[in-house]
Amino acid sequence: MTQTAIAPTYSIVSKRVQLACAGCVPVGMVTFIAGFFIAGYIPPPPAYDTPQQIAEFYRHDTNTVRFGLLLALIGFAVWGPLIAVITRQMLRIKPRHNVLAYVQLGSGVAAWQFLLVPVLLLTTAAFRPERSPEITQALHDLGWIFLFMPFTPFVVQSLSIALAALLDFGPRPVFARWVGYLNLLEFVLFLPVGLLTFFKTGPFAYHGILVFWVPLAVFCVWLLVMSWASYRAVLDEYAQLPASGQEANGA
Amino acid sequence: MARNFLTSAYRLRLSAQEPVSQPRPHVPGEAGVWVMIFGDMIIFGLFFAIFTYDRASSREVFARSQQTLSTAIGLVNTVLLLASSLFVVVGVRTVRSGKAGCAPRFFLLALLCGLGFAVDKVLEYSDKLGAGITPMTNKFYMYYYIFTGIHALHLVIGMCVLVFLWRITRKTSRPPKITLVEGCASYWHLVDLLWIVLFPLLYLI
Amino acid sequence: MRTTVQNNSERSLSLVFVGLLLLTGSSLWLAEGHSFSGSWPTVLIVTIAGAKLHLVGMHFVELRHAPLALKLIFDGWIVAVWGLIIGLTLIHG
Repeated sequence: MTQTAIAPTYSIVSKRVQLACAGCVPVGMVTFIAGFFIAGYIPPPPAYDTPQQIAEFYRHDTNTVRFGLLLALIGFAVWGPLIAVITRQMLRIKPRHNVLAYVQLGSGVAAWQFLLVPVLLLTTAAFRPERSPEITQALHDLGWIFLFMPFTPFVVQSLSIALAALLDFGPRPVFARWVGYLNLLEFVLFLPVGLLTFFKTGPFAYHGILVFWVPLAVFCVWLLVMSWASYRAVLDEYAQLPASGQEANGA
Repeated sequence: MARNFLTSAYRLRLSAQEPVSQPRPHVPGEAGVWVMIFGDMIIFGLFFAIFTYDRASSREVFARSQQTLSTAIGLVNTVLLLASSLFVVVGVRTVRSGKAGCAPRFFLLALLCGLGFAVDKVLEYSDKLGAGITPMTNKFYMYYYIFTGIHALHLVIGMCVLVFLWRITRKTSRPPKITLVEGCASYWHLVDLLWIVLFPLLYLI
Repeated sequence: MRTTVQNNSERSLSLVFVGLLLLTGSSLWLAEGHSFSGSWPTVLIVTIAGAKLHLVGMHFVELRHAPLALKLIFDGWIVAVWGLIIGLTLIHG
């Protein structure tokens, strides 16, 4: 899509919008981590807790839990812009693998649901803590499983980014090759979370090291790496444009 | 049997017009692939640590359960993977020497070894499952099934990579980039490396 | 023309493979006579595994020709895994 005689400010604004989409991610990440920490979910209530213990978790300092979850809801807002800027940059890859960009977009948007909805479910658990403990635990389980088990969209998204990055044979690859490999690695590192359905104790339970701690760390690393990689890709894109803004690839 | 194929590798070199030069100091494959390989190694290192930690607090259960594992199958699997790695490195060197046309057979042999491992695994699992032993039976079996399962997944992916290597080296008209071949080979070696630790950890100690 | 270097490199691969088989065999032998109360067979078996890892890394993955940093990270991983397994075993044993 080429447009001639575009006012230069249009290019600059779209560049800044893209950069903002990528750059806001670390802020959002810190926000949702802080939110979960404040709510008391780091470290998490174990899967083997009795309903009474879970109910007690929500009855104790209820407003702190609610506030932390609200922060998390705000923090996850940055996921959408990140998906968008990744998609936009993937569309730049030569030879064109547009379908991979769309897979990434679709699975990224789906993944957003599995970040936002769980926070709302946990908020519901915290909404009437005086209710029957079994119900509170059911809501807590629901929220937690919603947050940690759905590896599918995240893995599909990572695989599409990996494929696109590794099949980038252009003169100036959009994403560094190690970014592609890192996305491949994410697939392995997220695998164990599917096992949380079988266990209430041990490393594969929903509070376990391989289901909670490792995937959380991997998720944060991925966010930071993709945020950096997209930011760099945007800068690269605009560095290649002639100064007059003849080819305004507006977002 | 490995000897025969090494001999053919010797004969290949004999017929080469120019001597094979030793590779200059370089990263096998490309730097990016090592991000993935080391990441995988680190997570498996964590698996090993978690297993050992739990083992230390449940010695008898672990020892008792370990007795039911067949060291023979484990040994066969170890030898199969070691042989497959040997075939792969010979194949890579063949590609590097410019005789890419002869390389496919080595990757095919490695693939067959991998297939043997896979068949063994299926036999082992079905034997255990038939005896009513599941990942829920006790902690040892949980780790046994899950870690060997994730390793088996790596093996299956590795076999796809070997098929890929076999196919790209068959095209003698366009020899593949050596970095691509080395990168794929390194991934297969990873499968071998992980089993080198898994085997004694689960079957021996 | 085949050079001595090629001869040696092919021969070293065969030797490495035989060495790996022998190491595997010896760890099996150690395991046979192993009762779970004694730690020495465990330490030896894990050390043998470390040696096998190093051999595969240097000769099959061809890290011998790799930059020092890569070699150090690889060997570092071997040492870390060795240390973790031995350490965690001995602490409670």
